[in-house]
Amino acid sequence: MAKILNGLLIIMALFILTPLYSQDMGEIAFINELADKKTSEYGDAVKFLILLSDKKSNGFKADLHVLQKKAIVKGPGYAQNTPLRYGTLALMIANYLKLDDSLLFKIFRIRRYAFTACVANDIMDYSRNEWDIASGGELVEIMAKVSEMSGGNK
Amino acid sequence: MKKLSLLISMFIIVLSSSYGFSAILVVSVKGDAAYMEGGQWKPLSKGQTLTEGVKISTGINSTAVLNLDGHILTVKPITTMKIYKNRINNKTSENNIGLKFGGLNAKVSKLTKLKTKFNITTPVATSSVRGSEENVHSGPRRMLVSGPSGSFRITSPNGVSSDVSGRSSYNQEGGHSRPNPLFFHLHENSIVKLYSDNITEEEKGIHVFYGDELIENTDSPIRVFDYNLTKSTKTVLQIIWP
Repeated sequence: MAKILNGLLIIMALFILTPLYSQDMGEIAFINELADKKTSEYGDAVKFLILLSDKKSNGFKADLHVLQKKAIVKGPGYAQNTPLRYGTLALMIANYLKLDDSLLFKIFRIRRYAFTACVANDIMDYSRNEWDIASGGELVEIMAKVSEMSGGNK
Repeated sequence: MKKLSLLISMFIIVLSSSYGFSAILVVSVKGDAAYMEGGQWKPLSKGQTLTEGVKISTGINSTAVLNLDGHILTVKPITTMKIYKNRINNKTSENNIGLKFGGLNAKVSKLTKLKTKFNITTPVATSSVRGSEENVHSGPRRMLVSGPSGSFRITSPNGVSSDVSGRSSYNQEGGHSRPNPLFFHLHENSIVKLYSDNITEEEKGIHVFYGDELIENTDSPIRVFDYNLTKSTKTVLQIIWP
């Protein structure tokens, strides 16, 4: 009887402690480090989009391959540490969210009109242009909006 | 063996019932939420008690709900905030939250015998909740404050204050020293769209669907149709103040 009781108590303790370790601290650390960066990189956007897709990041090359398969990134992409411009980010986001309600982006799937589509959907700011480099904080804020629009954050 | 059983029992009891003795209680956690301790992020869990000065962060599609002396604070997804002050005595209840980025929803209870101060500070301005509920969003692009109910005062670092209530909202864009007008969020998203008589239903539909992309060199799509007005239009406007 004592052995059964001890076993039950140990199982209960494990049930209480296990949820503490099932959360992803890596994702939170990534977001907070990114928010402090003065300049975001192409690899940051790739990783963020993978996380938004409810997938686990397996490194830049693997993540980029996943986005290429989903047609979010078309072509070879850029190097991981390339500074991230608004136009590049807008094109990835417009493909991810399928912003086809924008007439010009629907016809010309290029960075310029991806950017205007993002501005029209209040994802990006009209005071920026496609050649500006996004800071880490700006990337985090934009991705939070993307997550909200894609059905998360509810 | 009996001592081990007793120890484990006490451990489980303490974990499940410790929330009764602290002012900051984690009411619920959905997804990934963490608090900073010793320079490291540690998982936040339901029923956990926190102390003044704690930093909290939520991940993608994740939220955390906190109870601060009866006031409910919901930390929205992709948010980092810090509880700078959480104090209560027989005269006042004072809470000061620092929002680094992301969004918060604060439901502030009116404590009948205590003077309540509940402030949310962002890099742009400080909002002081006077009513019951407010939503605060902060990021490099803007600080946005709105309230489903009650009222609040926003104070910028230069001491200028704006009182917000009802359908108005406070919207200050990054790099600007002044906020936008309180009903700015309704600009270009007009409550009522007015068209002249010579605009067909099909044209109205195209305008609604493609909007600003068809219009250049004006600051409002409505102005394009103004050029075609040949008749006056009678409009009845009923203003309901909040």
